[in-house]
Amino acid sequence: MKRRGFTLLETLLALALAGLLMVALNAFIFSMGELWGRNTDLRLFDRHVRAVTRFLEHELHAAALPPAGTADTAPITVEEIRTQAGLTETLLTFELFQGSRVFVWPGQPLPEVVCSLSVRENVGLLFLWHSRLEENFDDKPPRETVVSPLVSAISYDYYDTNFKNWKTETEPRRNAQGQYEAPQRLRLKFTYRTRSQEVLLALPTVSAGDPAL
Amino acid sequence: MKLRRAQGFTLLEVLVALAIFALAAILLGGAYVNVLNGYQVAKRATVSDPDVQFARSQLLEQPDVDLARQGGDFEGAEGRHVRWTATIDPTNEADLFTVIFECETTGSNTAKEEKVRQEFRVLRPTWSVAVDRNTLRATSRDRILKILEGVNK
Repeated sequence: MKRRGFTLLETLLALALAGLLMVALNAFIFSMGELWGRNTDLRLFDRHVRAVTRFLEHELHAAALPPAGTADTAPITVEEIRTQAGLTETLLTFELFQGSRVFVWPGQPLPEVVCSLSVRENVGLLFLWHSRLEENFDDKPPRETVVSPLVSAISYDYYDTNFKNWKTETEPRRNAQGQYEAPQRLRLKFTYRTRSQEVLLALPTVSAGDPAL
Repeated sequence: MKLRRAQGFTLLEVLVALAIFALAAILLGGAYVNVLNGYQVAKRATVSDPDVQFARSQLLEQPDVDLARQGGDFEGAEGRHVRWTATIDPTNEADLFTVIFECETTGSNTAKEEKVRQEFRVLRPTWSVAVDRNTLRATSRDRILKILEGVNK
């Protein structure tokens, strides 16, 4: 039998096609690795930041609804809270009339939950919370629930109505009368390994112009 | 043993196989690009412009309709200057207004200038004039009564 080899043309064509295929496959496989392989944790981090932000927005919005949020009382205030460690922290505090799903009660869930936001080093973002209906509401420090261990810093944005500009403070500010002022925005810094992301949360307010629904 | 002629694939067969493979690869690649775009969009949604958001909240918190029509301005992030205006028109329903909200950010070398225009409806009892509200309510009542007449006939 006569064995015929490939012609030059066939060989070149085959080589060219194989080369193209190799390049395309390489790019494809490497980009797939980007997506499902090494960076999965970073994607998860992004998702976590989004979820925590949405959740907080939702809770703060709930705090601004009646009965806590009416035009003459601010729904979100800054209060001095005694923590379980015996320290006093100055924290953003709001009241959730219907409670929230993150509050896990030892007994049965109670309404009228007073909740504060605290960020501690190496712990993260915490809710300090208890209900007004508890017998020892006044003497016992609030319970503590970690919302996100990745929050590394909290700061407060104040809007100056005279100068029409913003100031960022790391601690809640006092006004001329020495009372704490509630900020208009909240900044949360999420940190995971080398990546960090800052989110801005607008605190809801209730104004006289809102319809009474 | 009979020697069979060793036969490879013909060029046509190889080309067809390649074409099928390429089709599959394109489909997969498309799906992958979609996923990447999805991540981008999701990221953008969280960093929606806080300055525009604040301008909008200033408008919506303004109980006085004349002040709301005047608009306002303030210093935004990164030295940007934000200016907003609103066109507020009453609708045929009492206390319901059509708002065209325009917000312009200027004055920074780092961020590009931006213009946002939104059109929406809001219920604002404090923006209404008492006389107009009563007229509109009377008209609505007449309309409802007429509809009820038609139903009860």
